[in-house]
Amino acid sequence: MISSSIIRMVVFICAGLWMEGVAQAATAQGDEFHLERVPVPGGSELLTVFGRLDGDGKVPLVSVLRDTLGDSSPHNDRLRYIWVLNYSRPNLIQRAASAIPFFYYRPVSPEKGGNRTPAPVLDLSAPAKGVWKDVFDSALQMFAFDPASAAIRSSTRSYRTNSNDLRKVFTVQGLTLLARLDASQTDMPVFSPEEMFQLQARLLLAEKKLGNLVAENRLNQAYRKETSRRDQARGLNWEILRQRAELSGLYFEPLALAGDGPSHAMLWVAREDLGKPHRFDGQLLGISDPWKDARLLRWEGYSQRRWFDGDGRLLPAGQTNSLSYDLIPLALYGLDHPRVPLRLIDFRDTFSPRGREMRDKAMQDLAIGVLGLSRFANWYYFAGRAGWDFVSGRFGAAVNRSSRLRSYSQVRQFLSLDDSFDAKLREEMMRRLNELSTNPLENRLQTEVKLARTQYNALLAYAQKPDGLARRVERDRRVELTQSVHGRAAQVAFEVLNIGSLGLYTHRESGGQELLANVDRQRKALFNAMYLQEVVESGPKVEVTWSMENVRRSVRAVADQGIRPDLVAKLFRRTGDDELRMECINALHKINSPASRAEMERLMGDPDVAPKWRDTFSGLLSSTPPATGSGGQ
Amino acid sequence: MRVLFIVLFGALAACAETKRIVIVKLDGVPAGVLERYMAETNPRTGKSRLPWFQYIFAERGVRLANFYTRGLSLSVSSWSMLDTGRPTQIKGNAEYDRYTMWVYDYLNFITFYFKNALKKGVDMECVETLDDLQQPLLIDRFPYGAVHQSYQLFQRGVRWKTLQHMLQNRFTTRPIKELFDEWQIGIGIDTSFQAQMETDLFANLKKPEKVYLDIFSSDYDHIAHLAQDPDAQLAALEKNDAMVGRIYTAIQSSPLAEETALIVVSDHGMNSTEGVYSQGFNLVDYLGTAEGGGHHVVTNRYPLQAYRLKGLFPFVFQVFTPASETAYLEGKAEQYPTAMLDPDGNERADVHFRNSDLNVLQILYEQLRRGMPQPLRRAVLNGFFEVVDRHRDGWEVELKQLEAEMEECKSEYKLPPGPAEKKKKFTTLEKKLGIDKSYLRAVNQRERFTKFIAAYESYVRTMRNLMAQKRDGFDATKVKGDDLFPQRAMGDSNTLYQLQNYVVGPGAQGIVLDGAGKLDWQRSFRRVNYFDLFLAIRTRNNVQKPVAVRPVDFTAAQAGNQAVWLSAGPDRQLLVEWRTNGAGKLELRCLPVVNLIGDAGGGMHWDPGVWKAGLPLELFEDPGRTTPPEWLNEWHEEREWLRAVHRTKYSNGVIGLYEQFHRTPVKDKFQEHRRRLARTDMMIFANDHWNFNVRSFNPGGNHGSLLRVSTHSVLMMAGGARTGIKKGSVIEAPYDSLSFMPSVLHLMGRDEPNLPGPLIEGLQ
Repeated sequence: MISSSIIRMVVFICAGLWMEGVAQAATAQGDEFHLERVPVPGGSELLTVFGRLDGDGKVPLVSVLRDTLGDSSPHNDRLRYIWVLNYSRPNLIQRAASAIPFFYYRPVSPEKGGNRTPAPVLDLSAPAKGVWKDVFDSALQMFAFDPASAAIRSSTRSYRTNSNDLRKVFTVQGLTLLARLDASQTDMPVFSPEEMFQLQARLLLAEKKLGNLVAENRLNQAYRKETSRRDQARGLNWEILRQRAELSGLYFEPLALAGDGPSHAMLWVAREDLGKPHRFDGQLLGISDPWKDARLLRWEGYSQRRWFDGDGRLLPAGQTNSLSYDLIPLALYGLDHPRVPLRLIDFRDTFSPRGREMRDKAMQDLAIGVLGLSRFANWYYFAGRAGWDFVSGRFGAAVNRSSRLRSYSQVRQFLSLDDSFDAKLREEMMRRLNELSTNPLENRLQTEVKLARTQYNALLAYAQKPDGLARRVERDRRVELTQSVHGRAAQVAFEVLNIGSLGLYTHRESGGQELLANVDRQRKALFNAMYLQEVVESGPKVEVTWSMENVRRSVRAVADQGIRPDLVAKLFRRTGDDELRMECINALHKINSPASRAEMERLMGDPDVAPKWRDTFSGLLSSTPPATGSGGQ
Repeated sequence: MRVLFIVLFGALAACAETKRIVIVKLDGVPAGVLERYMAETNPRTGKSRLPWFQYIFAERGVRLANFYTRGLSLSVSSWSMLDTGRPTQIKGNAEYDRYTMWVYDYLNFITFYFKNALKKGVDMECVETLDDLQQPLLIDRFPYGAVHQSYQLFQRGVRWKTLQHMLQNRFTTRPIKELFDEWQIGIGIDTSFQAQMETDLFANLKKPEKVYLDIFSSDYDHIAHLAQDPDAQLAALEKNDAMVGRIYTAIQSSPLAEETALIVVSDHGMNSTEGVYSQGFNLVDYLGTAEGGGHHVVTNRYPLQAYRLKGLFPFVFQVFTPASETAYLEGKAEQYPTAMLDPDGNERADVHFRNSDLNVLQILYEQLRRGMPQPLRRAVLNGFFEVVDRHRDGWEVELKQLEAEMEECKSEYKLPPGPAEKKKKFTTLEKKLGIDKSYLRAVNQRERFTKFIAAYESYVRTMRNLMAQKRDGFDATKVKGDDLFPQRAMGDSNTLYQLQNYVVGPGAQGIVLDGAGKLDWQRSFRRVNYFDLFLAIRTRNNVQKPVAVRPVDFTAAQAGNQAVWLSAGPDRQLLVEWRTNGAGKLELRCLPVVNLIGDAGGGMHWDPGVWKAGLPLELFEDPGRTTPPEWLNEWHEEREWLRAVHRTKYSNGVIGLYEQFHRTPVKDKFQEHRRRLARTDMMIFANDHWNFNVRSFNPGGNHGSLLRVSTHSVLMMAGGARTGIKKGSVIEAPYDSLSFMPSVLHLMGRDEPNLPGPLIEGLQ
């Protein structure tokens, strides 16, 4: 199997060709997904991933808006918004229910709705926007609602927790889907490797309160860390379950979507083995001892006959000369939870996983909502709670609520996308998963399918309206343009004003005929600057680690655009390649801004720079008068 | 005197072409993986995926295509051979003393740091062990002031300043935004630590007096154990690559650039395959079951099954896991454990069992304490003393020898050291020259010896008490078991016969008499053949195609003084034999055998076998073997063996087994005795993609076996013009760990002809 990163790398080099190829028409992504591409007036496109959801034909799952500026160059493309289409704004009844403390049930899901234009789960052009809104909401809660009364405090907190949880569930669903899409991308992918990477990293960080304040250049690290953590957790949990199954005489079945590693696992017991004494260690399994469970002896629930060879390997159904057992499902586990597998379904006790969630939520509602304990004033409670969580975590309890929420969201997605399950088993699991939800804002899966379709239609309509998506993109471009029109101080001031006015004021440059050309120029400049930044940061001798041709091309590009002489100077110091050095000198000379002249002066006075280069700088500085005007920031 | 030495050393160094070596030690990096990524082009950069390795070593240096760890692919023994240039005296990542149950916990860094901080120790335990055996390290060839050693396994002393600077730099030299991002992404102390080690190295590269410098990285080993994801593993190698690039660049601008050799070496490989989880089999748990013998088991760390708070305690070195079903030692897990296990490294486990006859004696003693008919009592009493008498002479010789050696040690080292000895003050100059550390090292060694001797004396006392018992008048109810059976001791090693007939408890009907009214030795005890038992283990859940249903590949045990017996079943056995030829050179051969059994007298019998597929090491069927099968039966020198089989699935397994089971004697008799007592009863080798780790799970990959994927290691060198190291050269001839040290010393013009490994040809 070719790893996703290798695919990313290979595809990057062919980016130009790729864009041309994809631009032709909608692209199929294997059998699992289908992509629809809808042009949006003004030079954007709406990319929608379709898949199966709940076995209900092709359902639109995620839409992403790509701002292409109407051309075929990938270097100036920007991803703007992500919509998870089965995520909709809750209706009034749901909202009211979610504001009732200790109410952990779903009211009837809306049969209609979703006709409004859906809200994106993430704005990729301004990921921090959501963070500041959260910060404001928290401040409002803390300073306005919390001091009011127990009733207001607990209901507002309950509402906020539920809506945050809901957003997280759908963010994770979007992420899981994109990861699947990434794994199944063909050699003609829908999203370029960099785009896919950006999408996944931002969605990952969106799960954290301040995650989307992380700088763009740290996305790589964030994504790698998280995927590495997930892979490690999966491996560990896979082994825990396999070994425990072995010890307890159970059957272990890892579950994976095609092309991906196992993300879930089932434990089964053979009906034929029941009634015989057997060891059992349930510490990390979270289920009761099946060998002492009389209910299993007269089990009438779901079971499945399976065939095994002499080595215990699973065979196709009905294989002759094999061992056959009637297997009863005991539990389904998520493997991504840190330290221990997370029991998601207990086939003998539907209430147990739900009970754990309800207990946890009730504790939180009571402590923070009703009693009004605060992290600062009542730190001892939270310290005690953390201590308790630590100890129970050491004993194998799944204490990480955020991870549990993620696992819950993943398993919904998993069951929706996987068609290898026996229909009855799938139905049984879906039923039990629906029971697991404690969030009144959530809809049943069947409702979500309907919502996804209606919301997609609403989004399409919005995309075609002249004052719809196209207008929104145009306004975003005008915001984007502030980066090259104004200096750093002005940009900070605009941001402060934006945050201070709670988003009411956003500075935008004027549009006009030149807008597209200006944005195009800015994006290409940024592309080259980011490339050179990466080159410079990669090590002490760039000619060892990078192909010089591309580096020289980028140096020429930044020189043409008159930007980042600092990077060019750094590059000069980090190379022993005379041709590149000469290119850097020419670039600094061409930029000829105060900043570039300052860099040249520094290099001229640097004893570590060879005399012949210092002489060259000296000659250029004395022969060229400083240019007027600013530039070269 | 020391100053004079430095001057002389400086003069000597001036004559050598290579005046300085910088060694990059990469834990667990497999040569095959490194080479594969070096050859691949990164489409984003247009260069190799590991551009610095490619630039420095493929284009400007020498690479060894077939460099192997000798012996098992375990970190401690592998680094021991690389760092000493001698056959390994350390045979595992943890070792146990059979008489005292002392655990040589070679990988316990936390204890080392604490001991160092409290001046209870100076060096890592593996270094202390080598010091006790008077085996100097490579760094010991250079004066204290000429060495810069990083944090690593065979570490002498702790440079606390590295930690201090790391913490300072972490928070004071970085922008707040960067710290914020890191907080959100996850704090990585290891990266800062590695960066600080590099900074220290760069600072020392500027000092011309430093002629030995090294840096250690375990990034790859760590991640590959945890995850088989190739992206994560490549990321670790990229980190190593960037580090090597920075070091190379720093060398270029250092004072001795032209005379500096940059060397990259790894201790072993790693068995990690994308899409395959390495499966663990819990031997601790298994040995505690009735089927496994009902043993209370000692390990050096808490098994993961003890998934609880005490698993966090870092200073633990002896963990007693009670048997789930014990036949006669209920509630005595801490007094009388009967098995000790070192599964670390994970593709193999070292198993010690308490001497089977000590089990017999204790079972009979417990019977004697109960009421029973007179004839049975007489028979049991006779049986008890029959066993004691059978061993009496052997024990007497053994204990006398040990006592004499301890006395010699006490007088030679003037034990115990006085309490005031540690308080000695040192001048700044003495500290600069490392004299304070040498002194403390010596005092600590004497304290250590004192402790060892006290523990052995306790064992000797109890054994003498047992031997002093007389049949006439022996009343088991009046003698405490603790006075007869040494607690926390395994006694003498088991013979092959004992391991094939190991007594794990009374028989199904208890102690019974035969027709003649004597103890029925066969029916009175439940016996286990451990070789067959381990090989018979099969698992129920076999969900990965490439993973066999049997966790155990084969077992290995010493068969006489000059052979090791490998068994994959009664008709699939191999004897690896060794001898020294007329020219004083080691020779080895392999013989297929069947039905090998040990006899009670210490001998063994077998029937000759034939070469066929499925024998341990799979030499017959392996297309990588370059000789006809009959060649394997003949005596050949080890270089010939290495050349013939290094490309097979088990690469240099034949030599590795010799290295593991043969012990090169050391001069000091007491130390020699101690090493002998650390010898394991038997080894179990895991099948491909199986492991025996119990401390935590290592689903990503493992090492420790003889499989080529685990033993194939990295060795690359590049140097300035005056070092004479070839450029762009690949050495295809196979070499192992023992060639590393002599070749490095040769580069520096400091040849030591008494080192056993051959020089690597073609470096210069």
